[in-house]
Amino acid sequence: MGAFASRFWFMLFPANEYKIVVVGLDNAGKTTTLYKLHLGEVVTTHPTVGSNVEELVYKNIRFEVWDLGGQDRLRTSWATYYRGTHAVIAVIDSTDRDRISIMKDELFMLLGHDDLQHSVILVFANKQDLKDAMTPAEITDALSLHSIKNHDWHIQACCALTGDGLYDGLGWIAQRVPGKAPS
Amino acid sequence: MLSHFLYRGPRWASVNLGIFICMQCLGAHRSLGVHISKVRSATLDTWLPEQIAFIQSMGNERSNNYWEAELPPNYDRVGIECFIRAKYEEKRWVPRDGKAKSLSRVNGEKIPTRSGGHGRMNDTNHVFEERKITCPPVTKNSTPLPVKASTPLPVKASSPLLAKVSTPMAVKVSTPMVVKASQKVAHHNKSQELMQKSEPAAPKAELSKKEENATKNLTLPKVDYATELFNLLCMDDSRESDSTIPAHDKNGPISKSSMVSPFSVHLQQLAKM
Repeated sequence: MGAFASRFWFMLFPANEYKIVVVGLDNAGKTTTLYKLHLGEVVTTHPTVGSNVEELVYKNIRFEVWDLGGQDRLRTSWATYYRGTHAVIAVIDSTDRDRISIMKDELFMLLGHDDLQHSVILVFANKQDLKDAMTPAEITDALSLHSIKNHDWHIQACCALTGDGLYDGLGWIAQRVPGKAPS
Repeated sequence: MLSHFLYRGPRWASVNLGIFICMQCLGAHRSLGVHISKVRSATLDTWLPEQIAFIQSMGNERSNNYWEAELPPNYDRVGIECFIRAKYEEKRWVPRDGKAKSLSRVNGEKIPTRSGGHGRMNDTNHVFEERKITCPPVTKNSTPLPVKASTPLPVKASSPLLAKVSTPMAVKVSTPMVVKASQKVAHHNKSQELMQKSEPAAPKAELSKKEENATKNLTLPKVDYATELFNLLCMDDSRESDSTIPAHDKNGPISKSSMVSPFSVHLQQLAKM
């Protein structure tokens, strides 16, 4: 039930532009995801040290998307970007089974952050094109997504290289913010 | 001297391959997938003690001995990403007969085609990698098209190298260390002496001359510390090739906490040299 609180919150406080932060472990595909959405093409990426920010317009909704560096020591700075965030996109490397538990810890840490109490959570199960990729169901279990009670969440299989699933995920976010999008 | 390293920004490595990676090859390694190469930052990631131990015992040179054992001489490494994929994903050049080849190989020259300096070879060669790691400061405004040509014989090197001199490319010659080092010196600081205390080498002088010619076209910024680094690395290299570092495994940073940076390990290693 608490999952609807965020939607209600957005209805009370609509914004002109919605802020999304993209988090995830290093090499999960955050930057590739951002620029695939922004430019429609795959860019050659280097590890993000700091952040990238781009504005996306989808279904007449403007999103300010922050892509944050995923290296160990950069994760501690994620919280500095949380203020005013409407949605968090957690990008998962679906083939990185060894570190999925680390991502779970990071996810639950951010879920507890005060600035994100009204944010919705979208999990991108990225790299689904690779044959050893975990399915969204496996990732849901590995991340214990079902134990999230006070945030609206959704997991979306995707491949940032091809763009498959990215707009489905963004559409899910668009439905959860008020304004022009059908909800 | 070592303090220069500390301000060079993040360094990158593949913890499962046990190699350091330059910025040019980083993207290719990341795209291989974690089942092939797990890329970590030496300064931004936390390493496990066993990962540090492994990269100490492996290193770029030894790694290359395996992954490029069957690499034909003069192989044309066009497109670093393709090369890296062939090397690690297809395992195209791993030893077929089960034994590693000697360090002295004749590598093909390579004319990179990608923009932004991506043309450098991937090589996991220790020295070369380190050099590439230092690329960002060095290549800021120069060397759009680095070329690597390597050969143990100066004679062989001369013709292909000279052919390149007129083009705006950085020429890299690598093989046994002397040559590498001298080339680097010429490469980064042509005014600098053709150092190399440690090496004999008629080839060196000859090669570096050509390199100097090449560098004239490059407008390379002066990087004195790069030269120093290369000196160190050469020594590092020679030592590794002799003995495969048994000592490091024991008294290395393994005994330290898991927070020990592999970067500092590398510095230690260099300092010992």
